[in-house]
Amino acid sequence: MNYAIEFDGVHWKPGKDFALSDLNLQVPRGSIYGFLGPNGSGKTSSIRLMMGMMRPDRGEIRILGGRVPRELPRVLQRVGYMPERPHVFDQLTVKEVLDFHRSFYPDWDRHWAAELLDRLELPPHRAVKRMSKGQAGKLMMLMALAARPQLLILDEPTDGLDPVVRRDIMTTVLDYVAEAGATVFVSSHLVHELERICDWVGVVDDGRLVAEMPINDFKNRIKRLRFEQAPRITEEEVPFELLQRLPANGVTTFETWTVHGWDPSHRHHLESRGIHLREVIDLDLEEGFVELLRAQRAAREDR
Amino acid sequence: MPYEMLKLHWKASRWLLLPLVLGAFLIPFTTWTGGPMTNLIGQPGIGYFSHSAQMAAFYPALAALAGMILALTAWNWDHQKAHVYPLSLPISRTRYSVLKFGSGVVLLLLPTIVLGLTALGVSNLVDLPAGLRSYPLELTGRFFLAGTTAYAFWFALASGTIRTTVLLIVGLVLFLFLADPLTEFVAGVVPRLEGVNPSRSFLHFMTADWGPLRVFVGNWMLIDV
Repeated sequence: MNYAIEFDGVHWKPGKDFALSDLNLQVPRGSIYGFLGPNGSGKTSSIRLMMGMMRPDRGEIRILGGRVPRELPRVLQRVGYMPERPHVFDQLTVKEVLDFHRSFYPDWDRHWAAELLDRLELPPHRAVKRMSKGQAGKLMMLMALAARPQLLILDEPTDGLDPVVRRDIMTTVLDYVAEAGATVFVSSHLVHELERICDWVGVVDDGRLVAEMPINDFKNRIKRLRFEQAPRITEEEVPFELLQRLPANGVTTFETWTVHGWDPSHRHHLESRGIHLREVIDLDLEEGFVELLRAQRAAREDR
Repeated sequence: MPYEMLKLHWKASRWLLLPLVLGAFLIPFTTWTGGPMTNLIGQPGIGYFSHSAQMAAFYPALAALAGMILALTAWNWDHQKAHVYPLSLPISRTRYSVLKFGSGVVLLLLPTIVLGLTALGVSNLVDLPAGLRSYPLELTGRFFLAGTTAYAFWFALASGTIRTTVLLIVGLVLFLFLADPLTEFVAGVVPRLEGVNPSRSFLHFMTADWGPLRVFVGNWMLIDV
């Protein structure tokens, strides 16, 4: 498969408290890849590594086929980046920011930039420091898109924005993807928002990649199972990963399992062992994400 | 790209450049206000000479100040946003720094041109007696060179983090003030250190004929013999 972003055994340790450990990422070209993780899990650090702002201690990073940081300027000409917080010189006006920015991008689309400026209702002569958070977010999006990138890297693009601006920004991104077929790598801890737009998902926690798969696989493979009676079977005997086991108690009358790696054929496997499965419950992305992280953390604490 | 970088640097430094440009006008202009006084034996033009001598120290000071202000304003906005934006641009760090450095050198031309034009004007207006000459072009060239030297020094310092910059400056100041007395103190125990003056030797090296700061200590008079 052809990948827009590849991390191969990337390790980066900036200090004592945090490290990205043997990170392997593979973002398929043309996908909208949601990079999920709690605050402080390494999302922004991973993005800064792919932008070449920091060098990994070891491992290899390839963006659009070019090695980072070796082939950086050439690679970044084809990448649109929207950081977590507005990063431009905020003493400049919107027009000045755009004039400065476009001088670095040979494929800058002036007409489209003007159209987006109009559509996103950005005041061209207002200083960035006098703009609202939503307006600054829209400006970052405009800067990322008007360079006509093959890859969009969005770091928490809608964090702290109101729902109207969030929708404006995400609609603009989706319109561009539909038109240009670009790849989007979007990090967020707002899981429900990514669920609507992503087709791939990667989950990072404490500097490690916990899961990476198409979002439908992720949702289909994490299930909650309900049993009439506590199954007499050990964790080693089941064909899936048992993330959590909640026995029946005064509140619930069923034993409940949360599992990863579920396949419909597993029902037959359980029934052949005399275990009656009452219900298989679908989890949404957020629930699946939370359960997965909880299980991973418990496993780490056990070790 | 160079033009956009120049516009950016101009916007960051324009209000601080204004007093520098004013100074670049006033310092040579003051030489003219000295007037054609005569000395004790009746030679005219000694007023120009003495005012020129009085103003001589202000030229290198202004050049050093201009270099420092332009260098600090070159990096100030980058520091405010932790350099995230420049690092995300499709340009090598070296090229970005060279463009930034170049924009500062171009902006340094502003006070230099004002100083040069004023010095030329004053040179044409004064009626100098035999034995006195004006040096407007030499002075302007020296000013630009000194300004560029100061700019390069501060540019390199300011490109690092504020912490690094402060550490380097404090280290330099401590060295200049404490190295000689400390060496003298240690010489009481280690006799072969007697007569060694590290900070004085350092200053001597910096301002010697081929030293990097030589341009600051030469003759800065607009009107001289």
